[in-house]
Amino acid sequence: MTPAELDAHVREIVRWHFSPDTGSPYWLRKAADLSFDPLSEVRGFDDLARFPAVAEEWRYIPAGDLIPRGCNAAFDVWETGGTTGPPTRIVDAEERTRGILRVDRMLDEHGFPRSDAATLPVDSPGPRDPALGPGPIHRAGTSRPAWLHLGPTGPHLVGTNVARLARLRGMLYHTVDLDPRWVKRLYREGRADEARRYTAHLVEQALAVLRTQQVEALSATPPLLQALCEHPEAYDLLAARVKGIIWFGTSLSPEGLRLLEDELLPEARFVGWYGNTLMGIACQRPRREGDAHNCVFSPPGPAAVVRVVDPQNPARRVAPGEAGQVRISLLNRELFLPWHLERDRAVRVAWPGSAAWDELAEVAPLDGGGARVEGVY
Amino acid sequence: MREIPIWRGGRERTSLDVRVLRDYRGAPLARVAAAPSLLVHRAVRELREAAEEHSDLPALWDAIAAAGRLLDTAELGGCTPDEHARLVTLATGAPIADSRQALAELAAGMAEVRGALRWQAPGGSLEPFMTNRIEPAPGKCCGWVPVGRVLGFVAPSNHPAVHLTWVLALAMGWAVAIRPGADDPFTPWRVLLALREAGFPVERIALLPGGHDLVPALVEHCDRTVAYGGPALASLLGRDPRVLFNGPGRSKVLVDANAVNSAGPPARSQEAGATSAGGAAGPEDPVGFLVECILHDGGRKCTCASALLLRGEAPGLLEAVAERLNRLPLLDPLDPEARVPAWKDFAAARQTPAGAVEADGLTFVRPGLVLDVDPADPRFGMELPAPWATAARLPEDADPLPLLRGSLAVTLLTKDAALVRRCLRETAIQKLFVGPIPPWHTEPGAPHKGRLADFLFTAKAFREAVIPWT
Repeated sequence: MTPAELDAHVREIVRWHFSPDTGSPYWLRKAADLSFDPLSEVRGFDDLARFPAVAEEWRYIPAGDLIPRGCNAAFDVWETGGTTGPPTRIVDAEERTRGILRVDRMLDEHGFPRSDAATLPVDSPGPRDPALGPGPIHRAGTSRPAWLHLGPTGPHLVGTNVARLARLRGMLYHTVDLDPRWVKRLYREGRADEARRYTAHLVEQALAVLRTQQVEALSATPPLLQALCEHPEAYDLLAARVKGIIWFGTSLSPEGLRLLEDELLPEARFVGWYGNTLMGIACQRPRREGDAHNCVFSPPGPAAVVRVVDPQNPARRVAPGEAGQVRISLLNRELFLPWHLERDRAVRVAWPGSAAWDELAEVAPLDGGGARVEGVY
Repeated sequence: MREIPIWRGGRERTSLDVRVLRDYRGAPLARVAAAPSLLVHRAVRELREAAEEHSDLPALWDAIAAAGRLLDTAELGGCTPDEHARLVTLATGAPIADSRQALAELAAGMAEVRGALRWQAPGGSLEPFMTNRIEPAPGKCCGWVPVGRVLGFVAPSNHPAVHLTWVLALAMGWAVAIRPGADDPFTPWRVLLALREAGFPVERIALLPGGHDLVPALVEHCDRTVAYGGPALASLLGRDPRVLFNGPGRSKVLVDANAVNSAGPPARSQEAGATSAGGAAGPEDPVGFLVECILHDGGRKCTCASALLLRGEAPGLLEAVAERLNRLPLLDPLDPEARVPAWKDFAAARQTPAGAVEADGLTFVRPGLVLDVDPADPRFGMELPAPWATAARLPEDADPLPLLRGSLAVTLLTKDAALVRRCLRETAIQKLFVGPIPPWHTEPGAPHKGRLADFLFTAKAFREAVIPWT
């Protein structure tokens, strides 16, 4: 997408969200507080910086206020992790499912497992998620491999996203409940032993699936992937059966990824996801010759435009190869968020579409906390 | 720039995760490979296999002794002992004379490994390490066995001599996984190179530089872990019985006025820096002695005095100590005369109650002794990696014991035998010295926080009888 096309996209999205017949109650109300007229004064992407930061308000407003009047579909509510306070809520009808179709294509490029049963041409509609459109249909009697999702479900979109993906790829979705807010709370309260017990509880449930089901695909957070690798039986089962692994939710260093790919589970295809409920999924793109990083994430633009910016001056993009803070803009008909700074740092990776948005590498939490010394260590 | 790799399975490994270690002027000094926490269980499994075989302990001791001699004399990995000390100084800010002395101290401890082990074994004999049996009394025999095979070691960067601890564990037949301190990955690397050179089976060692995320993994996968750290690490580890945690030492010196007053007026002739390194100042100079209690090794050891307690009236004594610390010149740590460590983090230095000063583009915490600090004041006994301490005065008849609790090391300059007895029995004091012996006094292998062997070995009922009916 060229900068001019991105600007046109921004104008179209702003027109949609601020027109009385299509916009959401939230943005129509908000328009009155703005010092400018979004319909006439937002001419392109750079003008989005004129909006105030609003994501904070999405923790408290009724989620339904975010639904544009112009959208007639059924909406769902999803929540962020809640690391930094009460969860931020978003609404979604079909947009995130479109994102999943994109991820599905990218997984094919990675050679990620897909069941043969799912590759048949489809013409008869079955009872399935209508948002998926014509999807695969299963030949009776073909075996369906299993996909184990070891991550958040419930209000966190990722669990549902993986379920949709498993269906698209002709696999049976198995999951284990994981409450990330509880885990974070345990760590925050210094209850590392309880966190360990909770992890062991999750690994035990994963084992129950791994022992009895034909698990070929796994999606898990890096700490849980580590816990599985550290458990001898779970590790043997993974090494013997799993052909594809998606990791997400927390960062994984380049060496950690190399260790998993080359030494621990060399038979599996690894695909990283960066993202969250707000952004959607920035799926790792296949490696190319000359890549400086072993994992480069490709964000779902222009529905979400992701850029790496200077933390001191978020209006300035850092140069390719430099690290900065992740800034996102949600620019689709179901949701408009002019800009939001994630609490993540990443290296900006140049790609042919760099003018509009960035590819990312080496994503990690922004360093925080001041220096204070007591003691000699 | 120097490169410090990961070491596991008996060989060097590179890492895609690399941290650039900077010196105290901010210049890049070394590229340090970082191990992901995911690697820990793998490395520990390799160590477990390496330690599985029966250990020929005397052969290990010979190799460690030879390595100790190499450590202080040989060029290892292209680095002479002097160059090594320079690297440690640049990376930590410790004065160069202290860095060089610490290397010699560590080397001597290794060279005399048998002597160090004698502190550790029941009865002072090396036999139990080899036979796994002890005879507490004639005719009374039991087993004495390691409680595991692999020791995790979360090293600090404040003083190179701590690395003798894991070498002693190797000497006891354990394998060790070391997470070097962030600022000093050089010393364990040099020890490893010396051991390899000396023919020690180095597949019993894993060197895993990296962040705090390695610590829970080490605790989880190793049989025992020795860790050094501050409050953040303490809360991470909790009260795990598998961990021997070394937190701030908050070491103290109690001075009874009647034990020093006969020394006459405080000597002023002795210039700061002129005291012989490592040796205690003589009892004829209480001021010099107390200054060294605080200043030794730049005040960076957990056994350097963090607080002085004066019981009774000794006019001018504390003032003289304070003045001498105050007059210390703030020199570049590479200056052979330097005694005061430089700090790498100005913000951290400024947040200390001592306050930061800048000199010649370097940051220091101003050396000093804060007088008349109320023992209830949070500053009292607070430990900083600097020659900085607090002092409190107590009436002649006061009981100082409550204020001495929670100290790693205590020196008592007292004639109060009852106090000595009570301090000896006090569980919240780990090391006790009576008379003009500084709290940082140590001998290789001597108890520090208990004995390492008591953490790594246990007694077990064991009795053999001949089967009479066959």
